[in-house]
Formats: sequence, C-alpha cells, structure tokens
Amino acid sequence: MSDLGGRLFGSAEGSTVTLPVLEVQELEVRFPGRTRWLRERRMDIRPVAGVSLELAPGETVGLVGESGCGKSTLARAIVGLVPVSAGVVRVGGVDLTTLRGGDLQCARRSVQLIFQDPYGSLNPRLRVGTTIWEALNLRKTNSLPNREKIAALLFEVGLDPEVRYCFPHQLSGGQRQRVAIARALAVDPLVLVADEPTSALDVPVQTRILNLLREVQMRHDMAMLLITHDLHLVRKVCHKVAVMYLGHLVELMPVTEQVQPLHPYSRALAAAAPSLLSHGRGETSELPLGEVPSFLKLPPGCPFAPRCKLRKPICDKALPLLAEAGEDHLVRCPVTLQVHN
Amino acid sequence: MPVSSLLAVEDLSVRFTAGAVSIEAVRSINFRLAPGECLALVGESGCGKSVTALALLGLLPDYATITGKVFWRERELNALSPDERRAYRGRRMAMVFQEPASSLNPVYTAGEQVAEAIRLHRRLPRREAMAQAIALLEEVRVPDAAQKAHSYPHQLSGGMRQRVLLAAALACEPELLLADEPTTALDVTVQKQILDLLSQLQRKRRMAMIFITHDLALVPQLADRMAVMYAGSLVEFGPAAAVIAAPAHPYTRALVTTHPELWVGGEPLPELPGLPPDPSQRSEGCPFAPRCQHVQPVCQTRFPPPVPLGEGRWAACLTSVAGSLVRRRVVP
Repeated sequence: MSDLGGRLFGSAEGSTVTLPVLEVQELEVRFPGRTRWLRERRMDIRPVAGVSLELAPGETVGLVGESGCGKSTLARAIVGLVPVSAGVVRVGGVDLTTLRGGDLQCARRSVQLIFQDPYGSLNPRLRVGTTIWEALNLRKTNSLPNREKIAALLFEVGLDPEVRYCFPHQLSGGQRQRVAIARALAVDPLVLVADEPTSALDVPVQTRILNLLREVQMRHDMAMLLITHDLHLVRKVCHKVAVMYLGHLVELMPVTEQVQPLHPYSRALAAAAPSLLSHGRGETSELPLGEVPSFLKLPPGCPFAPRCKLRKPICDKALPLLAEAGEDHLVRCPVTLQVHN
Repeated sequence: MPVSSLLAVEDLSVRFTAGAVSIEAVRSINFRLAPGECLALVGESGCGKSVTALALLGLLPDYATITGKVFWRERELNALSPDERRAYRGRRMAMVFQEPASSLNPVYTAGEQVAEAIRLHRRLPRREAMAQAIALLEEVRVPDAAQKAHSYPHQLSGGMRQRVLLAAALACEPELLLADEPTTALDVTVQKQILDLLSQLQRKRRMAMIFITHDLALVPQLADRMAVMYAGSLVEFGPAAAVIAAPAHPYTRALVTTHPELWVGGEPLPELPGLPPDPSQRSEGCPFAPRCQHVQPVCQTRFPPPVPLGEGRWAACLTSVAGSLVRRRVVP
C-alpha cells in the first residue's frame, strides 16, 4: 500500500470514461465557536458548508470569491490541513477522510498545495535543495539519485540548478514561488491546489508563474484547482469556474464565450473587476450592497440575500438549491433561474 | 511656469546612501498637475512610486538626498523649513496609504483620529471637531457613522478602515490627495466601492489626485493622465486612455499586452522576460534596455530624453518612437 494514490489509481488510461481525479462531496468544515460563560448556545462557524466539486485529469477549475468566504479553508480541507467534519474528499478514488496514519500520509502526496505567500511557505533555515530533498524523500520509489532529481526539478520550473545552494531570502518572490512549485512536483501529485499563487507577485512575474503552472500541469496531466479573486485570469486559464460565497458554492459554470454568470453575486464580482477596456466611470448598479456578513451572523435563507438587489421573500426562507441553468451550469438562485428559463 | 498648474515637479531625484552603497530611487522626474486633475502613477514594486509620493509630501527620512524642485503654485517646497513644510501637509496635500490597518492608531477610536486631524489644523473645541468628524465619515459613506465613530480600528473591516483613513485625509479639505495603492489590500467588490468613492469625492471637491497603483486596469476608470515609472524614471506620460490604447514605450506596451484581460486563451500567455535592474547598479543607458525587444546600440550608452508625441504625450524611448511601431493600438 506504499504507493496508495500515486501511480495505482493515477490514470484512467485505457478506460473510455475519464474518472474525476478529485471528487469533493458535501464537504463540510466546522470550527467550534467559543463557549461563553453562562451562555448555553455555542456558535460554531462553517467556512465550508457542503461543497461538491469534481476535477478531471488535466482540468483547471477556478475558485473565486471574496476573502473570508471559505476558499482557502476548502483548499486546506482538500489537502488535509484542517479537519473535515463531514463529507468526502476522494483523490484518485481513495477517500482521504477515512484514512489514518501511514496510509493517509501516502495518499496525501497525490494532492499538493501551493500557498499564496512564497515568503511564508518555505522554511527560511533550509537551503532550497534541502527543501526539495525532503519532499523527494517522502516517496521512496525514486530511481535517480536525489542530487540529479533535485537539479531536474529545478530545471523543470525554470531555475538554475545552482539555486539549490541558496536560502529562500536570497531569492525573489517569483523564484520562491518556483521553488514551491518544484517542491509540490517532487512527489508526483495528481492534483495541484494553488491558493492565490500569484497575488503576492508583480504583474509581469504573475504571468510567468501562471505559464509555468499551466506548462507543468499539461506535462504531468494534473488537475488544478486555482483559487483566485482575479476574474480575468479565471476566464483565460480555467475550464470551469466555481463561485463561492460564505461557505457555499453559488455558481458552477463552464468557461466559454456563450456562458455568462447568472447568480447575482457572480455578476457583482464580474462587474467589480477592474477593466483596461472601461471608459470613464463604470456601471455601479451591479455592485452588492454593504460588505460580507460575518459567519457568526449568517442570514437564515440565501447567504447573499441581505446584499442582493433581486431579493424576494422566498430568499429569506431557506437556502436555495443548486439548480441547473444549462449544460454543466449550476446556479443557487431561484429568482434568476426563473427569469433565465 | 504656467499659472494653471497646482504642482510642478522639476528634475526631482531621490538618493538613499548607506555606507558605500548609494541608490538612486527616483531619477530626475518631471511632471505637472493641474488643479482637480487625477494623475495615475503606474509601475512595478520597487520602481520608486511611493518614494516619489513621500518626496512630494516631504516625509522622507533625513538620510535621503533630494535634489530638484517641487513647486506648489509659485512656492518651491524643497526650499521651505520643516515647519513651513508641515503647514502644507494635511492642509493642502494629504495622503492615503496602502495598508489601512497599520496607518490607524489601534488605541484611538475612528472618530477620535479623524477629529485629531481636524484639530491639528483648525482650533476647534473637541466636541465640534467630533461632530465634523462624524459628518466626514458620513461623506465617505461609513454606515451608522455616529456609532462607527466610537469603534476602534480592529472592530472595522478593511474597507471601513480605508474609509476612515480617507475621512482623516479629507479633514482639512486638501487640494491634492496622494493615494498610494489604496485598494491593494481589499477585495474586488470593496475595491470598486472605494474607487467610485474616490472619483466622486475628487469631482465634488475639485481636488487633484495622484493615484499610485501597480494595476493598470484601475487607471481608466479614475485617471485623466498617467505616468509610467520604471526603475526610478518616468518612461511614458500622457492622457490615460490614449496611453493604454496605444502605448509608445516598450515597457508600457509590455504592461498592457501581458495584462490578463487581454490574453487570448490557449497558447502560453504573453510574458515580459527578465527583471528590473538592481537599483545599486544603474547604467548610463536606458534602464529598460536589457529587457527590451527593440534595443539598439544607442540605448546602452545614453539615457533617452522624452520624445514628444503630441497631445501632451511623451515617451522616453528613442528606438520604438522613431521606428515603425509608433503607437500601434493594442487595445480594441
């Protein structure tokens, strides 16, 4: 079982149906709230409240939403960095939430996370070579000696192999993010979860890191979950977009010219995105009212209702269901769907 | 100097010296700003945008060597004594910083900090200053301003903190507002709200603004003119819409064409190779030459002078401006 989730379940080669390489079903993360003295009710918060997603090999899915909507918690739950309170995370057919100990360690290698901040995600006291060597040592099946493998990985992410003698503080932000990518690739993952991989970088460097991510993704046929707040980027590099709001997916749509976002929140995000092509002052009517409410004071019905301009009485009654609006297009808003259909 | 400009910057340079290392962070920049005009200052991090803003305000530390002139109407600001200079800050020119959490004092309430800004420049009783502070908070659209005025910064969201900071900056009705990446730490929806607010306030108060950003996409909705900065120098200057639609300098062109919004999906995204030069080792020639596709021998030896392009536009590039790719439209 040493290579669980690695090669064994890795590919759907030969079979005619492409099985999803990452399956997230009704995933829920619950953080216990503080118990107050003499107060009975404990307020738990649910940054991820029943999210379902599927990624096929080679597919890129963009996850967008405002900060504090649960995007990063979802990413961490998928790679097992926060405890999952309900639901299933299946990578290459193996349910990570039921595994423990050594089996979990092995299986976890098949999903790798790239963090937003390359300054914080590398150990400042380890040379780059050691950082990658540690990751390589996790998988015991390497045929090449480590030194050559480290050089090959650094070369693959566009760094000079000599960089392995450097400490992270000697590298620029872009170079550090490349090291983080090399470290993720060291264990041959099936799925790459990139949590805002470019938002800490300068604009020209962002493009290069994105090109690199796409290149390694294609070469290794990995699936990628790209978490971002940049809607232009999502439209250009992703196959599908998932829009998240206060722990729920509110829209899941394919990226094509024909499909436009329908959920009022997705539309608001699209309207708020700054544009090079805008002339003068933009249209502000689509902007949501106010700010994201706290997880502690969630509205009873649709989480977006208090900020929504299309709010109807039914929105406050119960959480709307994700309903089909077109092919592969799911929307959690009965009001827009009525108009749309 | 024409009477119409509010601010005129002539050959402004800023040099930081530490031991044997000397870094020229800003390299003889020139521009003028008319009253009520919004100028966007665009560039990568480390290009000298923020240092320029601090130099205009006179907020740089003592070890910075500033040369060149900054005229406010007819007065030359660099010749003033620190006390005289102080009278210009806040009252005539004010600044909003990038990180609202660290620019606010955590132990005072939002209202107190805005009131403090008012009382610093006008002798008013505490209670009146507070009433004015609440009115200002209402003007920057803080909901329940009277109540929020008694909140501490940690009780406010990022967008609200930025509004409080803006209220404090507007307290003395400055004629020029310097906004240094005011929305970088905020979400897109909040960013849009703050940008709309800034542009409305700027119109309403007929206030000039220098808006510093690294994101080119924020420029068209806010700025009248834009200045592109690279490695301490201004490389292109002109009306914002015209510069973005048809950039003349190769660096501006690279910034526009590598912007995610203009990518065409599928093939590798267009990228700009190389890195900005090390600021301690600046060459005599064009700072962009090592990364430039149109580089000529003359670029290595001589810093290109601004080449006028009409309509108040110029670009500091000899080869591309003279060559065939002059101002080809890149934005539809």
